[in-house]
Amino acid sequence: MRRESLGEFEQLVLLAIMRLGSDAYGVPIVQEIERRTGRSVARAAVYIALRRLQGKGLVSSWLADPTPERGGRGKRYFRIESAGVELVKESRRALVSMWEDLDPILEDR
Amino acid sequence: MKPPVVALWLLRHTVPAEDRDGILGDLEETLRTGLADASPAGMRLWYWRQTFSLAVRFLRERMIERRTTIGQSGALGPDVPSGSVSTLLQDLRYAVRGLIRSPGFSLVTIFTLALGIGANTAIFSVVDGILLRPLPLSEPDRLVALCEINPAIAAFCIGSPPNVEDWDEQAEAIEEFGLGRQWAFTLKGDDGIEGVSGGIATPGLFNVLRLAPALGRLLQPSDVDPGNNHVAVLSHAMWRTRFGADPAVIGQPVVLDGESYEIVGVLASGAEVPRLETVELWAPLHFHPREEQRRAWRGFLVYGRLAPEATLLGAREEMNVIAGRLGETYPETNEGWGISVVPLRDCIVGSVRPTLLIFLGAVGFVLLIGCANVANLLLVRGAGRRCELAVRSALGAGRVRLVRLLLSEALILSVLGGVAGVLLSVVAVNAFVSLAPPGIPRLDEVGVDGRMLVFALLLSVVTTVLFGVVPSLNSTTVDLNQALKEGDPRAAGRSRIGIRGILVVSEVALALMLLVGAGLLTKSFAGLLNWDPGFDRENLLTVWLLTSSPRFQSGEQVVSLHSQAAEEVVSLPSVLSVGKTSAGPLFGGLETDEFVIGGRPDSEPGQRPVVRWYDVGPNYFSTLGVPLLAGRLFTTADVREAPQVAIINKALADRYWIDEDPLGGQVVIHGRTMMIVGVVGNVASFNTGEPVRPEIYWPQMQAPRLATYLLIRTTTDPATLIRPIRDRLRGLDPDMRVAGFTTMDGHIGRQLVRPRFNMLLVGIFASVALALASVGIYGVVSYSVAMRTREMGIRMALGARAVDIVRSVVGRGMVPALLGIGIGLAGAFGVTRLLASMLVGVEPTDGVTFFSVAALLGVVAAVACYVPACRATRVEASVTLRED
Repeated sequence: MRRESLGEFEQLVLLAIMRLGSDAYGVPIVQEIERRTGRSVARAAVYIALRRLQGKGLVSSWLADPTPERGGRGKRYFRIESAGVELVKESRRALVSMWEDLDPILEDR
Repeated sequence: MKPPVVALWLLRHTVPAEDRDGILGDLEETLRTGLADASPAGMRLWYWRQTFSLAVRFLRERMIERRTTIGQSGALGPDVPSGSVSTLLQDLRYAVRGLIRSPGFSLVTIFTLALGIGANTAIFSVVDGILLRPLPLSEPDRLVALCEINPAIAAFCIGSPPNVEDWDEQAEAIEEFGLGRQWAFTLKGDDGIEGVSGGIATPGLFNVLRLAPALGRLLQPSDVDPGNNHVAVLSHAMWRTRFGADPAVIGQPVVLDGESYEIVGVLASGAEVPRLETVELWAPLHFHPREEQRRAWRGFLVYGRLAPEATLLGAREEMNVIAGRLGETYPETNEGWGISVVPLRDCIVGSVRPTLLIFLGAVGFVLLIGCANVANLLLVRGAGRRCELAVRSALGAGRVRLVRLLLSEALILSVLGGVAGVLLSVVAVNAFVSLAPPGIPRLDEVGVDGRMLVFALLLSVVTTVLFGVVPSLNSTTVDLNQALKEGDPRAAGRSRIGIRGILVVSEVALALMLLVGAGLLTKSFAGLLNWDPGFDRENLLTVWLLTSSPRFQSGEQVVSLHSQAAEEVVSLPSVLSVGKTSAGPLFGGLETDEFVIGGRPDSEPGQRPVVRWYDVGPNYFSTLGVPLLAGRLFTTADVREAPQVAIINKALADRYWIDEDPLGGQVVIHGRTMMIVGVVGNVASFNTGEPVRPEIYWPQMQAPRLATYLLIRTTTDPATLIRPIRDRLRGLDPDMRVAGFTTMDGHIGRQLVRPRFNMLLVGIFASVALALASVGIYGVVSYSVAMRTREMGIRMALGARAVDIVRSVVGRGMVPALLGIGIGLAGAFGVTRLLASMLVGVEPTDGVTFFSVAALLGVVAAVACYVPACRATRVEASVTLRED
């Protein structure tokens, strides 16, 4: 079976979910990514990424009770699954390995 | 602020249900908290940006997901909100693939639809061009035809000039009047005298119709005065063909009937007087329209234009009052005469309306049969696919999705059928126009245009909706459990044999009605072909002579010139004899008048007996071959000074001299008293079944006229003698007009054109109907055979004989067919009455035709059942059982 791999944006979303812990739903996920990366993010892109991650079984979600300030709608909370954790770890390992011994080259430039 | 409603609607239709609450809630939360410092307009803008971004991304996402799903399973995915273009395209693609997989079904369906839609579009084009479209004249709805009518006299739609002048003075509801008629002029050209199809008219005729000149002017009020009326207006066609479209033609003289006329104008291209389209040259009346002695000459077509506020009803009432007033003022000529006012269009096309409506009805039947066939085909296909649909449904395709798939198939089929039908109709309309009998009004206006495309499209859509939706609804009520349990998809359709049976019943009934109609027309036509006129039809030629030159001072001189002409012709080899007559069977005008029998009480004018009369030369009866029954024929001694004599036909003798000898009796007609000297045999009416009319003949020498027919009996093919005869006659006198050479076969052929055309057209429709109906029966029976394969296999294995199987299959298949025949016979009994006007010598309820057609349809149905039944007997029990 082909190994699942993560795009950069999907990694950002997964990491934001992990950082937010039990408060991970749409609005704070967007804010977290924007705050940490310093760039603005399209909400729609975040929701699509969440949908795909859920489809791959990397995250799961549940709908909380509706609240009046949300127009009578509940928050959809996300939690990273073990497969997701594995994949981010794997991803980090690959990146770190690729970064190794590159500092002298970067300084030369 | 609240989110915009439209944006919410858009989001609801694009964001998947499972994500919707979370996303919409996030948006609303941000709107309330995160954007507190933005203006309301800024917030709305932000919300809309989010909406579009979400809508676009989720639509794209859905397409990607679907592609993945189909790639994996090949089934239709879960129900998605309708209205998405990509889903529709996907359905269509899928339907096309399905249709290509079963080419037989697709082609038969498309072909059936094309036949139905093509035939209907073609006939509807004809009906539209002739009956529905307004006349190509200015404000055609205000144009009326006026007719003087008298219950005692045959109804021709005509009027007399002085009467119309009076109407014009008195009427208010009709603001303008005009009249005209055909008038055969002779025109002196470089090659001698020739006939021109001319017309005489009042200036009002062109005003009423708003016709315009291309050059010069049309007739004007000053042209009416007899001292000033030698002017002529050319039709556009004559100006082009005879005068080479020369603009200098205005002011040139032409010699008409030996007198000089000045050309004053040319009609614009396409400007024609309805009912007088053949007129090539117009001149004013040769008398003043107020001339009192013309009041009884009701020989003109009268046109009127309603005043802007006037209604047809109002005009009728007013004209009735005027007719009553004229009847009091001029009792001799106008008493008992009324005036009818009819829309001009009705007057022009009224005669062909029943025929065209019958054609329209006939093609309507063909379309219905076609639709029944298509419905049947779709039902069978739907039933055969129950298993497939059940599986799709199990994989998540909802009912809406399945209906949409079936509808897409029906839509594709009907669009293809419609396109093929339109192409077919273009061919058919061209064929109709070129084959149609002469004398159909407005035929040149017929063609397939944009409106017809709309008509075909509507037909297509209606057939799709009716015959795509209904089977779809049926096929998609799939009980998955049931369908899969039965395993055999063919078994699942058993419940729907009822609907198919009904379709077959209606197909057969409709086809039978059409076939009966075609059968009646064929029988009527065969009767006409075998017309036995009571004389020898072979080797007869007729030609018309007119001598109107002022060189001849008296009628007797003209008659002797024509006698000389007859002698010239008879001296030719291959000519047996030549007779002269004013008219004859199938040729020449029929002249009828009232007559009085000498020595018997007279009746009031209008109530006297009516008779057809002819003036003839001495050899007429012997040349035609009509036998003399009593007395003598005319001789050259029957001249003006001799006693006035007449010959009557047997029909007249039988009617008015029941137990008396008519010889020596007297008849008075046109104020002349004649003694009956002979009785001749009847000439049968061409229309079999029509009674032979009473006829009187008298010698041309005793009542001379300027024109006559020569009736020439030859020993060889008369057509080969036309040239030598014409040369002889031309040499005799340059002022004699010689025209209209026709053989008796030609006369008969001309009479047969219309009945033959009617028979052919209805016959074609009926054959198509028969073919479609037999395909329908065949389809249903073979379907039921396919369903019962297992049962038959077992029966054969248990020892059933092949003949029993065939009997059982044919028996079941024949039930709806026989039912259809029964219903069709009852329907035909009611419907064929409408054909009465097209039938000659055949009753609309002719038993032989009804029986033969029913038998024919029965045989066709039996064959259509027998073929699949035979297939059933070749079933191997082991094979069918092993299939499961």
